[in-house]
Amino acid sequence: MLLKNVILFAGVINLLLGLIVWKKVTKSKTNFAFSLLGLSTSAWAIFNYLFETFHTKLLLQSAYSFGALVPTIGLFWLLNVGKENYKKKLTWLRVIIIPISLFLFVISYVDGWIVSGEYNNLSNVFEIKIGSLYYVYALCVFILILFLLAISYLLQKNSEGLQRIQLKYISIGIWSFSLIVILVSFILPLFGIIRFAKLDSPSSLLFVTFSAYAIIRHRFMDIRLIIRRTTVYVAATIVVLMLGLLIYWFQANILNSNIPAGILGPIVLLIGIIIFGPLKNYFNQFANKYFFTSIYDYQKTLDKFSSDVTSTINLAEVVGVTIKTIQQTMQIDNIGLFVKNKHYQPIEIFGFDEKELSKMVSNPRCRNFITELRKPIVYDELAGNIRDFKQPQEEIEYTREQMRGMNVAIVLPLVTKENLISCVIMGKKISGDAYTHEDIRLLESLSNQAAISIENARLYNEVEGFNQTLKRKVDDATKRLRELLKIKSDFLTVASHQLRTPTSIVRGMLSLVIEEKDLSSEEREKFISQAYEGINRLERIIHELLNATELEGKKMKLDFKKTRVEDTIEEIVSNLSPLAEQLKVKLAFNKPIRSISKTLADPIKLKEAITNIIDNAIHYSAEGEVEISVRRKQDQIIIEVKDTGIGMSKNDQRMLFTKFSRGEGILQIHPNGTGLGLFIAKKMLEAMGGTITAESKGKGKGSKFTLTIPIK
Amino acid sequence: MALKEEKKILLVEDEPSLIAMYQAAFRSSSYELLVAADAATGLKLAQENNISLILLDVIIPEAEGKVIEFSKRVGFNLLGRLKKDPKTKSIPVITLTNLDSPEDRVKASSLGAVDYLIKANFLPKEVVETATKILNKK
Repeated sequence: MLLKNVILFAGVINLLLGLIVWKKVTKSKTNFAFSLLGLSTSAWAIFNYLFETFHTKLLLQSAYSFGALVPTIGLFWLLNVGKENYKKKLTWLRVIIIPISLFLFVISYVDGWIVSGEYNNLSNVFEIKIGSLYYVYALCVFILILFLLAISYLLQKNSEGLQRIQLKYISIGIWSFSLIVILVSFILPLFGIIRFAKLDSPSSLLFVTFSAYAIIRHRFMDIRLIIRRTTVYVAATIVVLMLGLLIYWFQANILNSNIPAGILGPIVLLIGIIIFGPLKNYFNQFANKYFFTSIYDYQKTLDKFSSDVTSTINLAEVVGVTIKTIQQTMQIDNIGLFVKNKHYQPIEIFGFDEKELSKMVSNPRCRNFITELRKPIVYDELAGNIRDFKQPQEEIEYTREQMRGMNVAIVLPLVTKENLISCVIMGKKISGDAYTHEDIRLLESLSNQAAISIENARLYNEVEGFNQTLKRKVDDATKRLRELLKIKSDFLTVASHQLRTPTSIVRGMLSLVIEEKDLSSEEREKFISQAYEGINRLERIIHELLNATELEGKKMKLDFKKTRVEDTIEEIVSNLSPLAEQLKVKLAFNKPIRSISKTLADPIKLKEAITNIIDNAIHYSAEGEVEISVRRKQDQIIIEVKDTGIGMSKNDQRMLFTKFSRGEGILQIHPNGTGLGLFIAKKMLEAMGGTITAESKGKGKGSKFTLTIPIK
Repeated sequence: MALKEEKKILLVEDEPSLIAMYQAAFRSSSYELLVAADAATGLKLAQENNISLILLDVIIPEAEGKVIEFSKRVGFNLLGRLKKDPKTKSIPVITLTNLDSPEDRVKASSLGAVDYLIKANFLPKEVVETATKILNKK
């Protein structure tokens, strides 16, 4: 009696397993085959049970006929699980086993071939008669089982990753199931012991158990969630049914009342409907806690993450919260988060080698794969059937190898509005468990929220950075304007001083000539000539100021004539000799031995420019020397003005030729100048296609000005 | 002339034309005009002679042969030194310059100058009059 029920139980469980997997049938051929395996095993067990109950020949033969299907379908299933090359290699096996098992299935129903028999009314026993082909049947089934064992072993040995773990449990299930069947149905009968033979179909429970374990712990067949839901529903239903029966029993036996079924029925139904929901929730919690060892509450985790991640706009904090949440819920150590600008930039990395990880993420193959897939890349899935992906095989294989090499379990892309903005690289769970589908669903939800937050933080950072740049630029411009204002005001002070000096001379001298009665005629003449000199000086200063203002930004008008530069210099030197004498400067012009050819230049502007340079040199080299030389180099005339004067600091050299802008030392100015001489000289030379440069070994070490004029 | 008990005025000025001009203007006054063309000479003359008044230019060379630097108001530097030296600190100093910025005026007065004259605005004889007025006030 007990055995019968165990057989029935095995039948029902196998049926359930078959049906649950059936629900997922669309997924793949593999699942379909597994579903069939469950169903055929169930049929075998159920026919066994029915035969034990009703003892008819047809039921017995059906048990044999379906029993023969079990190993064949098992083999089919295993062949589908394996890798592509494996399937091809074993095509012959399929070609053989299909006819064999169909043959066995059919002949089981032929009386006298395998089994038949009849119920003996006298002894109350069904007498089984072994047919002529019984041993052929047994041998075929035995061989099929041996194949099943061999192939499950080989498959398991040749697979990798999660699949290997899954297949390990499946193999254990198949082996224990098969070995028991071989023992009770083939070996023991050889020794005349047949009373254990009926244990064959219940032993399929071992297979179911190991399969269930693989399903729950290792995501086998992707049906963990369905099992979990089914279990919860079944448990809730059973409780409701039992409660209903209890109510019936109670009212009939204890209360002895006789409420008509028409009234009691709806009441029980109503109670059932009301308590079903809470019961289901209760079982759900129970299953979470004890059965499926889920350590996070899906909704709670999401809610908490949402509120944490939206409470900040700081990129580092958003990343921190994201990483912490994933680490805690998934129970992992190794994790890295990259944010994509032009390339992926590592923001935070734990456990992984940052360089290697960055290399992987920025490799175009992996990058493309992440970008195109837009779903979590799960290593275990890559390790399985690559054909499920649309992406180029090369990309997948590269990514898979990299993930394997660095022990990356999941690459989680963060996508907003079609844009991939970031990705999270996750290592294996500390426990070594595989990521469940629920885990991955949670990760997907987390990634959506995280993507939005990271994008916001990034935009905020950008705006912030932009603001700072803007502020810096405004500050710089303000500072520069202040400097310019200061320079301008300094210049005005200098210019007005320099304008007033000759003015005061002219005014003063003339007032003396007019008012002082006792001046000698020589004195009178001297003062008038000094007044005249002062007017000239005034004119020169005004001229310089106007020149400098005019030169700024405008094209100079030039009057080109054939000019001999050395003659111009000679004239300037003779003009400046009195000044040099006055300042005790030794002024020397090294005239070239061979005359330099004439060039096209504006002689007046050229003279003014060179005068400015030499005049400057004389003024800054009191009691020193100024040496001028001129030579031709290719199609250029080069004039060098060397002095032993005050020299310049590096900063002064840089500022030398700018208008109004003078370094510390350059504010040294000779009494007659405006400080604009060099600026004017440079502008004039440049207008003629020439250049001017200055060098000095430093303050107090003299200067050398080099002027070039093209020969035209 | 030698008998006259002349008060000595020191002019610190580097521009030769201006020196000649002030010398001519002061000739008809009752003061003897001493001239220094740089700050060092100015200090020396102020210390060694019994000077009653100083006319001080601001943009002057530090010593003979030195270039003039606009950034350094050497005249103010000299003014400061004169006012620190017990021998010269009581001599009234009139700033005689062509600089006309508020900063320069404030600087001169804070250093102890009694007046601030712009050369271009004051004729030589007006400079003499101002000097006389200040000397008479004493």
